[in-house]
Amino acid sequence: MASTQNSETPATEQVITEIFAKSLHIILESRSPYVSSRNYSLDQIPPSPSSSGGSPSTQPGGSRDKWFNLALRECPAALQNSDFWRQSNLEPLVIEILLVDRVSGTEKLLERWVVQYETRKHPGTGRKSKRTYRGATLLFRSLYLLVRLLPAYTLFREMNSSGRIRSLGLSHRIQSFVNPLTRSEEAEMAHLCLTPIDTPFGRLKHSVSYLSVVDDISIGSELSTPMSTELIPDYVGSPTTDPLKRFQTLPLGGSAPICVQPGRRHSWSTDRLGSLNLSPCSLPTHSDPQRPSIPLPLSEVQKGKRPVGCYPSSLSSPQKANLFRCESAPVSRDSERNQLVRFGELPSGVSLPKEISIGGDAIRYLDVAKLPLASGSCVGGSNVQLLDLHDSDANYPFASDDNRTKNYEGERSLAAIVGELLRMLETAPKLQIGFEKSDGPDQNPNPAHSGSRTAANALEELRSYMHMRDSILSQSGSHSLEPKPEKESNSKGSNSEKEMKERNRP
Amino acid sequence: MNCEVCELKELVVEQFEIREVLRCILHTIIFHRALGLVRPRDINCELFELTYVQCGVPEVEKEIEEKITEFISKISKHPNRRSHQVCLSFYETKDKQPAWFSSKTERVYWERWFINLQITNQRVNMKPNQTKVGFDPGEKLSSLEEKLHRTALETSVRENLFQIIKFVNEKMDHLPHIPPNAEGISYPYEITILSSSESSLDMLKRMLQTGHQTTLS
Repeated sequence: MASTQNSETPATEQVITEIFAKSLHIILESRSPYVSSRNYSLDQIPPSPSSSGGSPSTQPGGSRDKWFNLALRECPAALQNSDFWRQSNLEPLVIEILLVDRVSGTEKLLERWVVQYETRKHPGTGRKSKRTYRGATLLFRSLYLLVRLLPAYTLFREMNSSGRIRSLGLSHRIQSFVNPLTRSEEAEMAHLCLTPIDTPFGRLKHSVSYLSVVDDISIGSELSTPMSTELIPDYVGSPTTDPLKRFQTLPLGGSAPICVQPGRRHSWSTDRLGSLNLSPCSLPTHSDPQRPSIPLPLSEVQKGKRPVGCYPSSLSSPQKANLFRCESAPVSRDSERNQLVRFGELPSGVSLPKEISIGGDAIRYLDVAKLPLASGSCVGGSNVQLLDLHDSDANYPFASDDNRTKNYEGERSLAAIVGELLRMLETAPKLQIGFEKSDGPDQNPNPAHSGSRTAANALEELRSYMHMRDSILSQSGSHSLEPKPEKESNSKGSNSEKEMKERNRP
Repeated sequence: MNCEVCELKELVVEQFEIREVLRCILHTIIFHRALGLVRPRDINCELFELTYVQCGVPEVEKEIEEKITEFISKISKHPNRRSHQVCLSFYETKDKQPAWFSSKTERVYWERWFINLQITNQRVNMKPNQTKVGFDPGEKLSSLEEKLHRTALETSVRENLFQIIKFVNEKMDHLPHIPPNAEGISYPYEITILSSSESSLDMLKRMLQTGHQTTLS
C-alpha cells in the first residue's frame, strides 16, 4: 500500500488509496467510450448489494466497487491504470481527457482532473479515518453527478450511443504530474474544486479544469465544423452533380446496383484530406487517382482493398463488370479480384444462400442463373465489397456488345445504354424455369433455336388438346360452334407457325 | 443540530415540464443524501440534454412520482397562482416525553430544500409537439420563443444542480450519524407541497408554533 510522508494510520492510508481508485473509476467510467462498463448489460450487475461500510476489498473477488457506499460496475479502463499511481499517495493523480483526431493524430484537451493529497502543517488537527471515509462518501456522490454535468459527457454519450467508427474519439492520459496549461487553454477553460476531504494528517483535493464549450471545438486548423451533422450538397445522386458521372460505369449486362436509391441523401465526406468535418458520418476513404471521388456510405473501410461502396466506379476497362456482393457470402477473399462471381452460378461445391443478412439488412439473391442482380439495401453499415469480373466470355442474356454503343471517344452515352437495354429486353429469350435444370450460361448457344422448339411443342400440345375436346364434344352430341372454334384455333395455330418460321429465318 | 436550509433558484416552467424538472432535482438531492449503499442509475432527461442520477431505490422513485402527481393536480386547481414551492426535508425521529394527547416521537428536521417553480401559461392546453395547420406568421416567433425558453430552463436546471453540489459539499457537519450497514436511504425524508400563499419563512413559523422545534447547536 502506498504511504504518505506523515505516516497516516494504516486504516487512513487504505482509505486514501481507495479514494484515488474510486476517483479514477468514476471519471474514466464516463469518459472512455466503448470500453466503459456502461455498455455492458444490466445482467452483469450483482443482484443485491452486500453489507456496506467496511472493506469491500476483503470480499471474495477483491471487488472495490462498493467502497464509499457507491456500487459501480467494473471499468476496464480504470482497472488497467489502477496501479499507476499506487507507488505513493503523495503523487497527484492527473487524468486528462482528450479529444483525438484519429486521422491527423492531433489532440485537444477537454478536461484535466487532479486528485492530490496534501499534508497538514500541523498534524493531528485533522479528522479521524471514519470521518475521512464519510467525507469521501459525500464527495463521491457529487463527483458522480459532476462528471455527467460537464460538456465532455455529452461527447461521451454521443460516441457511446452510435456504433460507428468516427474520425474523432475520446482518449485519456494518466500522469503523476501536472503540466501547466497554455495561455489559450487557461483562457478557454473553467475550473471547479470540490471540498477537500480531511484526513488526520492531511487532506485530499479534487479539482477539474474543463473546456466549457465543446460545440465549436476544432483541432488545429483542419477542423472547423461543429459536432452536429451537416448536409453535403454535392453528394452523388444530387441534382447539382453531373448525372453522367453517376452512370458512367454501368456494368456490362445492365446490372445496375439497385441498392442505390436516387435522391437519397448521404452524409459521408468525400474528401479525406483537407477540411474534415465533425459529422458523425464522416469516414476515412481511400483515395484512388483512377477513380472519381465517390462518397462511400459505409462505416468501415477495409485496409488494402479497393474502396467499398454501393456505387459503381469508373473503370479503365469497359469490359469489366462490377457486381456487389455481401462480404459474408461464401466466396474466397483471395480470389475476389479474378474470380467470377455470378449469382446463381457458383464454383463447384459452393452454394449461395438465397438470403443473406448483413447487420440486419437482408440482401436477396435471385435464383435465376442468368441475372447477376442484387437487390435490397446495402447501405447503412452493411459491408459490401466491390468486385471486378474479368470473365468477358460470360453469356449474359443482357450482355451487350460495347462496340455498338460506344461513340468516338469511347464513352457510352446514356441514350445508347437505354436503347441497348430495350433492345435486349425485346430480343431476350424466355427464361428457363427451374435453376437446377439449367446447365449454366454456356449452354443453349442459340437462344432462337430453343425458342422455336418450345413454340412448336406448345403448338402440338394445343392441337392435341383441341382434338381431345372435339372428340369429347362429338361424343356428347354437341353440334354448336364446333366448326368456328376449330377454324379459329387452326388459323391461330397456323399463324403462330408462320411467325415462328419467320423468326427462324436468318 | 442546525437545520440547514437551501433555497434553490426559481425555475420558470410550463405545465408539461413540471414533472421532468421536479424529477431531476428531487432525485439529485436524495441521491446526495442516500448515504447507504446505492447503485446509481443514470437517467437522461426527456426534455433536455441533461443526465441526472437516481439512487436506484424503487420506493424512492415511486414516492417522488406520487408527490409530483399530487403537485400537478394541486396547481391545476389554482391556475391563477404562478409561484409554487416543493419542500424536501430530512429529519430525525426522536423520542420525547410522553404527554396526554401527544405522540411519543417527534421529527427533528436537520435539512430542508425549497424548490421554487413559476408556472407559465403560454401553452397550458397545448402538447409539447403540437403543430398548427397552415402557415402562421406568429408561428416562427412562438417556436423561437419556445426554443429560448427551453434553453433557458435547461440552463436554470443545470444551475440548480450545481447549486446542490455546492451546498452538499460546503455543509456537512449537520449530518446525523449514518447507521451501520445502511442500504439506500440513510435518512428519513418527506416531500411537502407548499401553497403559493405560504412561503418558506411562514412554514418555519408554523413549525415553531406547532412544537416541531429544531435545536440549535
